[in-house]
Amino acid sequence: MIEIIGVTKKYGKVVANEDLSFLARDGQITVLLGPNGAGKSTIIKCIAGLLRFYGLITIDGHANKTVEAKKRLGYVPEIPAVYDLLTVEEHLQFIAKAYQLKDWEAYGEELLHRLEMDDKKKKLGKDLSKGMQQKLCIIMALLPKPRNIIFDEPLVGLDPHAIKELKAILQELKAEGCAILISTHMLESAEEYWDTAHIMIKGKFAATRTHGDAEAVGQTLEEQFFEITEGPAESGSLAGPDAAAANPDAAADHQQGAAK
Amino acid sequence: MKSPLLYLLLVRLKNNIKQILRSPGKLIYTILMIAMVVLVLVVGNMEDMPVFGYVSLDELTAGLLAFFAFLFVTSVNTGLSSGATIYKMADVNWLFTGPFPPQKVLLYGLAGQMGTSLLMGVVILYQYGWMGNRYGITPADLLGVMIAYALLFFLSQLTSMGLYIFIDADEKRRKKVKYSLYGVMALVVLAVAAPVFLQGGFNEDMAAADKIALLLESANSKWVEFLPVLGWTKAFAAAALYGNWGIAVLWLIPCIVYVAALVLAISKAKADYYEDVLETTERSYAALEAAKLGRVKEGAAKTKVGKSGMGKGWGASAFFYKHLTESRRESVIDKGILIGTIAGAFFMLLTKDGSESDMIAALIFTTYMQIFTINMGRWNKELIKPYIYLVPQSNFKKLLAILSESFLKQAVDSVVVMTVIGLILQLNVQQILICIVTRYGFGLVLLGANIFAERVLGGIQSKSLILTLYLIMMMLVAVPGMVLAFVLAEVVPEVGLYGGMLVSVVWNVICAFLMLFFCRNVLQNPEMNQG
Repeated sequence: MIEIIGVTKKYGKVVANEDLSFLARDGQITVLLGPNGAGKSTIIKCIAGLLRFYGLITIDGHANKTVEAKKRLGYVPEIPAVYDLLTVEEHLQFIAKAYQLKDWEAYGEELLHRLEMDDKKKKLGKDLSKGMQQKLCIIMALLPKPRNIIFDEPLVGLDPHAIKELKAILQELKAEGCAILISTHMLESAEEYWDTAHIMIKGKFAATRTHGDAEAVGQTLEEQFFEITEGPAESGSLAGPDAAAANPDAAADHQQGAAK
Repeated sequence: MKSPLLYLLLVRLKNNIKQILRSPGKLIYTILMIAMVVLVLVVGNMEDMPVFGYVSLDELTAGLLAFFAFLFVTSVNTGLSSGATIYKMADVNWLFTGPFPPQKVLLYGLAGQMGTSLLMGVVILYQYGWMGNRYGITPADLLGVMIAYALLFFLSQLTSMGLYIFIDADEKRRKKVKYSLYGVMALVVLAVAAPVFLQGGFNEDMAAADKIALLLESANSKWVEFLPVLGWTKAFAAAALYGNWGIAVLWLIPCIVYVAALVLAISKAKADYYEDVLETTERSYAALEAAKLGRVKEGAAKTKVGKSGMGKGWGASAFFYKHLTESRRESVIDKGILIGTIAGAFFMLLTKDGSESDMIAALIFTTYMQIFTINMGRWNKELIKPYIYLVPQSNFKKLLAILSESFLKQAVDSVVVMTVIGLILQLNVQQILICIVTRYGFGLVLLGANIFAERVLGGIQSKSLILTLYLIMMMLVAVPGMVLAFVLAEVVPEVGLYGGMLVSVVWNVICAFLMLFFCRNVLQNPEMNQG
């Protein structure tokens, strides 16, 4: 489970994330939606430990920058991050060695095959197209079989087959009880897999919806999204069941975590 | 204003200036740069003539020839491999497709490039301190050098672009041109160095001063001034330094004719040069965008994979073995080590006089060169990818792992450079070993400075800022160790020169370790905004 409690991230005077609190539960796919500049990628990077922030983020109860938390987290960046001078198979070897994985080869082969990268094993990172690099990053993130996975715009740049496989992988991970958090613009695609959606505007949550809620009112995610982002705004802070699930004691302390 | 291209040039210039004025960071940086130039010029002017008088300007003009040759060859070589461009991506999108004659578009590109070249020339102004002190030149004289440098930069870029266009993606033609360039430059170097060899340059009985005098005389020969681009710019600089501005201006004539001829050749013979430039501009744009995100592409256009597989590594050490794999693919020969070795060897061959001070001179020279040639390894490239932060290992272990390749490179650098120099100076094995260890100590200080810069200032893109920081760190950290070593050697004669060198090693290792310790949390609180 990924727990975000009172997280604020500022760039000078610009508030990219303001007092965000939410959960990405085990066995669920939580989606962050919002227009450009809403702060989705910022919170994703805070969770991954790549940015300094005020507040607290835990991964299965461990502060996100601890070694224990990192063992449990997988991260797929928005912009592919591959090593120019390593081959595809060496990327997997590197992850296996770095995460001290055993008997990873079969799973690695499976991922390569599913994302149609098995014939690219000997290709260097710099010789891959952007889409292939994206696929490689997905494989690298999944190889350690993390219990918590965060994706930043995972479908951008992927071909139709890869999109189909990734959606299937998401469902499999969800069934295995992994907590999955996805930041995306692609509302139509998100329709197929979301359980909880947080709609962000200007660094805050404008609304939170669950799949059950949406079915009850008979609205698609896209309809709700536009109603919220282009209609009158709801309250600026998190509402709904997830607010109560956040640890109230930790939420009161905004100086914990990797404050600057 | 009728001309849209002129409008574009002037509006871009105006907006560039506005941007600097509006951005506090850029404004401060610009003011600092200007202040540093003014400081250098003012302080340089205040210094008295050295006791033994100023050194002859022939040394400076010969040095400029070597420097310009190096710049020209590297610039043209880079252009031959990957193409040079004088355009931005927006120029390609709008000007190439717009209703403009290709010749006018070419002139527009050249006008923009001239501005860039002049900015590059500012680097020369920072050299006034030591130049003024050694050669007694004035700021006006230095202006001539700056113009010559800017001119060389401009002509190199234009030559690169012209060659790339005419080579027309023909690999065989490209190789012929490249090797011809190397061949010609090698001949020039041999021709300049020939009088030294012919008159017993390797003879130890000949004083170092005599060898150098022969070399300077040769480098300043009349025939050198007629070498295209290289000779003309050197001649311009030399004339300006001697106060002969009338003569200096005359040397602009062949430069102007060269530019005109090249522009004419490109536009007449290759009116459709757009396609050639498009490719290089796109590549340049992609590289710039990647650099903005901290993602600099590594390796040559075609990199051989060679042996596959990472081999060893487990946990944090996986980064070290990954670095070894990447370095093997990037380049078999470390260019920094090669340049450092050749420069050091050349320096010793010319200046050695068989005394103990040869070793000191070698260490000072090679350490100074190290600031420019040192290969810091891959540790800071690792910081711009997320994996170093994501991998579940302790931050200190990970930091040591990503620095390990750098430690190894420093060791190889020290062994190669000091062994070659030691052999030239006919030192025994023990003395060579002490020299290797001493140089390694200085290398560790530079590495420490690099880490310190990263920790304190974040991801630095500005090379001039990095170099300035290295120089400051060397003065603050390494020099006290050297002073300590000298004092000890004087006070306790038994310690001797080589004992003193070992003292400086201990000092440098302690300082480098302290810098590393101070920066041990560099992985703890990253700020990876891009990517």
